[in-house]
Amino acid sequence: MKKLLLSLTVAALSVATTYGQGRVAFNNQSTFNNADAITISAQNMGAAGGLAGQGIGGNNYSVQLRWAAGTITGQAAFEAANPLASAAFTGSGVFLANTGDLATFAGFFDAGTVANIGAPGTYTMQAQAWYNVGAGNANYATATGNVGRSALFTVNVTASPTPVNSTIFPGFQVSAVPEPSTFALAGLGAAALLLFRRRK
Amino acid sequence: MPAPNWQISVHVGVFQAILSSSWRLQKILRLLDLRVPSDPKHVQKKTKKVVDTPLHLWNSFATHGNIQIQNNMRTKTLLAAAAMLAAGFASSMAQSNVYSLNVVGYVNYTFVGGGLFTATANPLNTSSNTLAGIFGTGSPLTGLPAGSQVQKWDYTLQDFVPYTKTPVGSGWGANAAVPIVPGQAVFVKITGASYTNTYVGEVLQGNLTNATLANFNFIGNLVPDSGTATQVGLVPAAGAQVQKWSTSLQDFVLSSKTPIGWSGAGEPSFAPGDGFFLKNNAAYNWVRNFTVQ
Repeated sequence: MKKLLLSLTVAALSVATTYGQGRVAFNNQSTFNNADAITISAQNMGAAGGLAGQGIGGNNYSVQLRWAAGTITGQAAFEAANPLASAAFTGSGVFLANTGDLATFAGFFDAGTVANIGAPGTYTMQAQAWYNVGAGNANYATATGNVGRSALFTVNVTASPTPVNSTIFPGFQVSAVPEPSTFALAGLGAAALLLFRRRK
Repeated sequence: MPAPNWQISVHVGVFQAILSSSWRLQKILRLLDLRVPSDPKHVQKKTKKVVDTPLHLWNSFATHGNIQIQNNMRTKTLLAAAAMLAAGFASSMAQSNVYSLNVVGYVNYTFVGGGLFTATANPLNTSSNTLAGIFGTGSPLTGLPAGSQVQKWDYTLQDFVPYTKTPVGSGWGANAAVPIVPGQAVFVKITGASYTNTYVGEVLQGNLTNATLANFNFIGNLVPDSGTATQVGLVPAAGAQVQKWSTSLQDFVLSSKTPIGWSGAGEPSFAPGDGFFLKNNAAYNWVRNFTVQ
């Protein structure tokens, strides 16, 4: 009997939790201005990765939403809040066009509704995008091609039956991830400069 | 309503036809057993002839011998027929002047039960576009079952205002006169079994505008037709969003207008009585030019 009551309580709680969960529409389509598109700042993946100034799109890029409850200022504080992340979205069903000219509306996407954000309220969010072709590029964290993140923005997350709010954030650029050897070289250069100044 | 209009036009047509043809007039009067001379010059002679005509064997007047009564009755009948004809003519002329083009009808729309929400919009115009007028009263209980909830979108608040139906009085307390006009959507929450609501009223015709503003507008079609957004004339600017309620998901399905079509769930389509959110970046007039053929 106790087991039955316990399981019923758990079931009721899970239903209540699911029903009260907030959701948000993840897209960057509020204006279709070029300034809101996700563009490429530097080509490092060949022609498939797109040219500088072009918008991302098609199957070669993925977008993802990250969020943490409350209003958070600064990337470090956001990371410290252990933000959650949505699934990665890609393909022609998400992007309006393939990677290319902004005039074709490359750089714009509509990933639909991201559910289970948490209890309705204000959340700090961030959109991230990356080149997903090749081994190890399925995730943003391990991607070696073009990557980029938006500035932090806040959204009032609502639950049914209140209408869904959309993510609104200014466009950002994806660019090459510096290789570890690049960091090492930069460090060597700095050390050499310091040494040179001391000898003088 | 097409049927009454059609009936009215036939009525006028019959009397106009009768009056336009003396031959038809005579025929009709003969059908009514009213004897009228075929030639106006021989009116008196004809009357005499009729009086002097030998009575038929089966005529009961012969046995009673009251010829004078027959003559009087004939005159009275003739006068009465003329009066009826004149009245009919006058009536038909009057009706042709009040010819109505109003079209009325009804739309059945099912509200899911079990405490779930349904988004709906009144597709017909009534003389009382209010909570009580559209969704019934409390005592006597008409329309929605007691305990049902109607949530109306407040544009200024950008939130819903709920109203609950009671089994007493107007059913809505002091809110019975809250307007629910055609083209305005509401959420209906039914606690018991599913309920089929019948919207009854006039089909709006002509050049119709459902004016929407920036941000969320909870709206519906001003007329009871169906089709895709393009077919029903809903073509907002790129960046606008349609959030259509799914009764099975109990959440909205999103379609976004892009410069090259619709993204998300694709181009939305609507049935008569559907309610949905339209989110605009700027004011947008949903214009319909609708006429019932």
